[in-house]
Amino acid sequence: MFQQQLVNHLPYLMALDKSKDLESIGHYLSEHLKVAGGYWTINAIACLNKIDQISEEKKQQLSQWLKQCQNEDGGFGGNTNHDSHITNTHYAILLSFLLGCELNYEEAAKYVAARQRKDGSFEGDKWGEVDARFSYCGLSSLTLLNKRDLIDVKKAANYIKKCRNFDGSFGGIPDAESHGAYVFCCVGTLYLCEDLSFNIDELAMWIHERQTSKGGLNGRPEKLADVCYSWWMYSALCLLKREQWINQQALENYILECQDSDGGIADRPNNQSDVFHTFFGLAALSLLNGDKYQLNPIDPAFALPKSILINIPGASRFIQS
Amino acid sequence: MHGQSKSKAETLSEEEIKLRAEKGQQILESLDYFFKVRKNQVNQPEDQLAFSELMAKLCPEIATIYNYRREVLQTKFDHLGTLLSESKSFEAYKQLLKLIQSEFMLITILLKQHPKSYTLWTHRQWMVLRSQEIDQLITQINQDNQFKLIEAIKQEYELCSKMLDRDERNFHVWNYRNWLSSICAFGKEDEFTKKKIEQNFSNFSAYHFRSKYFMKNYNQSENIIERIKTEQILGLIPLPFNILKEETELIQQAIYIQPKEHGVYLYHRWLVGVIQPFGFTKVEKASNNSIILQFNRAVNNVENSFELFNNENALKIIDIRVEGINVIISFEEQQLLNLKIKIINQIYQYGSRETMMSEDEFSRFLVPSEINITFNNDGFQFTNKIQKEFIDAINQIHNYLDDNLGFIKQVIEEEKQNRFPYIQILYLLQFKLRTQKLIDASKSNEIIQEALQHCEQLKKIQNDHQAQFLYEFWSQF
Repeated sequence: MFQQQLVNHLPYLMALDKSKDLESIGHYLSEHLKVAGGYWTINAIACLNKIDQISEEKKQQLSQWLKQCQNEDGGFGGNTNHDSHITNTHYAILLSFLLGCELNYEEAAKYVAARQRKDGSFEGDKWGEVDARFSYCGLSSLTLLNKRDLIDVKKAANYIKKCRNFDGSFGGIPDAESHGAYVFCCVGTLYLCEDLSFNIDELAMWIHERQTSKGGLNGRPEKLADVCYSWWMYSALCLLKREQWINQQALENYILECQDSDGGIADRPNNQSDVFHTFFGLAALSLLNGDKYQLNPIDPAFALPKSILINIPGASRFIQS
Repeated sequence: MHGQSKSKAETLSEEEIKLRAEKGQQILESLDYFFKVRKNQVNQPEDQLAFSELMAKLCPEIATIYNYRREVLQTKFDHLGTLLSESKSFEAYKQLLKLIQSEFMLITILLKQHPKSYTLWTHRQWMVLRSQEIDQLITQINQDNQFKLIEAIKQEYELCSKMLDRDERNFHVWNYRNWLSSICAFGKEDEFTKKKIEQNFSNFSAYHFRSKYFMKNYNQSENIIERIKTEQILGLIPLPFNILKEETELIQQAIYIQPKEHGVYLYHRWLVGVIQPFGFTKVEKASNNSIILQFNRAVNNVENSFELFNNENALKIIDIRVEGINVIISFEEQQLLNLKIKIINQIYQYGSRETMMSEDEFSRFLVPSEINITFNNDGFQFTNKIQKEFIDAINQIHNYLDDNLGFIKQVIEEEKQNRFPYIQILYLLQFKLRTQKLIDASKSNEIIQEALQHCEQLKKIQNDHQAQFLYEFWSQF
């Protein structure tokens, strides 16, 4: 039954760009999320091993549009005409690898590197917001582009370590509360910085405690479970080689419960699906039990299919076997 | 995206679908126009602020709109600032204040609908920084500054309080509030976090920020050395012991009221474990060119913590290596008569003002002592002399641990099927084992046996990875 349902997700994903989703005002308000949306959609299709179902013409169209999202400063906005931001630059780079198109990587790398501050942190754009998400975007982008020499990797790691809290887990900035999504950003960054010198068992224990009675993971104590945390934290456990520290079968079952019978995966059971949760649900399943569901494994450090990563020289020494 | 129930999904009439499509089209057209304005492909609207305000209300999540708005605001701030410095124009002064006030009001309105928007909070932070600059400018020109940044910041704290009343776990608000204290330390963090905890013992965000408050506040205290000497506390945070005990009582209350929650045990565990001595337990090995000293727990960064003497003559240390709980000290080979080792508490000894330490520096708080090793035909014997005030401190900590163990055992009595107090007791017993090794190592085995019993109980309740992990830890002895 579950196998059938997984195949349902392909038509849902393929239709995403066609539908103007006239019933939802949300569609029009997410204009700034087009690059991110493109990444989640194509990556989900790749995870289902169906990327060949996207026509060459479509790929060309998307590639052309993606290139137009690059600005003069080398960074990318969330859509054409939008101002540059490190997150959208990172999404654009990832999407370009999925589509097999080339962007002006030289300029993109310069933009990303310019976001690092003296204390090792990364800002999102020239307006100065700082956050561990941007550190992750920075390390991942520059590693993939083989431009790590443009930044101070050691300082980047030191900044992230300041985000560690009394409970053994990580927040988004120093002093911020520990949070499941930031566990991904911080562990991912430290992994790419090749510096995992913190108390891993303490963190793994904190993640263990995030598993709720229904099998899903929540982001913080006393919060609701959400399918996206399956990816944020299970991928981190994979990088830390502590996959068995949660009940994997229970998590797997929870993700399957979150499937929407109309296609796609929702944040929790009986809710409406969206592309974001569809991607993260599938990605987590690919790590939990990829073979069973015939999923293309998504690498826990880069959040790209391994099949694509092996062709990226910068990534090779970081790919999880 | 999050939390959209399927059963509540609306089925819209054709009329409604048409209206939505029209509204959607309007949004797209407005955005189109906005980007043309942004790229100067059309004339700038007469009132750029009004225009960008409209756009922000239409599409509150689009960062580029706020980027544009900030550019417009900055231009106005610069222009008015110049007018103010050059001509001390009262009109310019009034306009600056009005601009600032209305911007904060706009962001507040938008935050009501989007309280978790990174974009909005970043914009608000930017406004606070600009307000700070303008406040400085005004004060330079006119000492009698009516703007008074501090009043504005007080209002910001008010906003945070109101928003946390609505959603006590909103981390954007907590982070913003925390950031405000770097602008103007007005926060009364102690009172505020305590109030939030008393309002709801499940508020983990409050415990988290309380832990930060303790870490920062006591670490920055001037008389840290005096504290260590007089209050005889050994450890990472020289929290006055009476404050620590009060805080522990607060969290015990929380556990008593909400025993099925994870967060309260975490905070309790941290408090109880926050002062734990690192101390020498025995000489593992001694030869004429090296000694191995064993400690009650794993140590590191102790390279400067030892002085060696052979028959009162200072010995040059060649190498110090740490392997878990063992420290291997090598020196020049020689005949040993009476070997004396002084263990130095680096913080106590050198009066270090470096109080914000990273985890791997904790063991610089070694219990200072003097070890004497005498050699004979059968091998060696050793004695260890610890200053009374440190022995008293260790005993105080040990008693404090026993009190807390007693408390958790009470919780177990009430909550026999709850795995949390069992997990908690297994951690607390780890702490107790460490101090026990310093007081009387021969009684260590009782603690280990007790722990193993609790491990068995835990496995019966829920034999998951955590139970396995803790069982493996206690089985190693």
